[in-house]
Amino acid sequence: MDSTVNLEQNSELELVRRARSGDEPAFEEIVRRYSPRVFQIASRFFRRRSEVEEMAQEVFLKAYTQLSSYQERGSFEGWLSRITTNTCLNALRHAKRHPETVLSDLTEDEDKWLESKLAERSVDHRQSAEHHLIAADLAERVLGVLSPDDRLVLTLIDGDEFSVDEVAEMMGWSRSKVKVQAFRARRRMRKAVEKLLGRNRRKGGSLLGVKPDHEP
Amino acid sequence: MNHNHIVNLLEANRLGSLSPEERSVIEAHITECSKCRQAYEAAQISADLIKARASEIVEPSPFFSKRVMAALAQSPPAKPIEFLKAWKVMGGLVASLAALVVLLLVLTFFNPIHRPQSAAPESASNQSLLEQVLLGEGDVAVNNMTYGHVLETVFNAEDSYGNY
Repeated sequence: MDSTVNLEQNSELELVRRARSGDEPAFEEIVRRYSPRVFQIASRFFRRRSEVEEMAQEVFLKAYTQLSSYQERGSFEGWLSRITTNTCLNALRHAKRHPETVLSDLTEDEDKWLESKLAERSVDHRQSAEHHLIAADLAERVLGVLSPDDRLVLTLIDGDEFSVDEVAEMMGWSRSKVKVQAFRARRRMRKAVEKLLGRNRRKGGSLLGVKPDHEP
Repeated sequence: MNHNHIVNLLEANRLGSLSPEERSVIEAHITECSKCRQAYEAAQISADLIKARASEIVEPSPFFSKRVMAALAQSPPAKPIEFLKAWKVMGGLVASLAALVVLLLVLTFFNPIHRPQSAAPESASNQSLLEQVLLGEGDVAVNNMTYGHVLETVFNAEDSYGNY
């Protein structure tokens, strides 16, 4: 018990040094301390608990073997975040994606959600938990059309509101690359949603009963 | 305000980070431009979708750290071998192999016993006979050779050496 208390009081660097020298309780404390961050990032890529846990475990096993390569220049959390993003990106890149089929069949609920979002602008109403789930499902479908890099940048910057600097550190990219990637990802996401809205309009007449204006 | 400017505003920044001035510029423009209105609506929905997805976070279970430690204990991942440690283990073997290669090279290129490989069979037999005659060795026939035969053998052998 005493040793646990001591470990909890250890600084990040002290823990890393102890773990590096083979102190397993110190590494276990690292896992406890940083798993929320690793899970948060892995949750951007995967939704199922089993997948997220599997990724997180792989991240910590990698971190354990690569502890000697941590140079103690940046924060340990940043170093671990980079391992997490790389591990998840690789897993996602190797997973088969079917961009053409991802958006092919929206459920009735998803169609309704899209309509309600546009209606929200005129009639404000509180989102129910059910609506929220539908939105998350639809988000997963739309994000599935994007590349893993696009998906990650969008969810980290626009979803979690991480700064460009933080994302640059996590990804090991330059600031300008993060900005350009985010710019392009927003465009691709917007185009995918526009396509959905256009299809929705064609399927059910004009969405919300409003005729689209004449396009220039 | 042109269309590209509005679209750039939507794509260069997180929608929530737009200033009130930028929002009012956009909202004024979309009343008269359907293309930009559609882009704005799509950007709003995109932002909502991303927010909805970002709010879904799987929390680590209280047993997660134990699970990782069990996985480590079950199959400890191979630690990268440091160069010095690797050299301590493999250095002797590598040095022995290098010495063997050098020895083979020396024997190949600096052989002190240089034997002709293209000598004629006749000259080889002459040389053999000469050696026997000069060293006083050989069979009975050689030992019983007359002085004239010895000279003839030596001269013949000299002629053969001239071929080298």
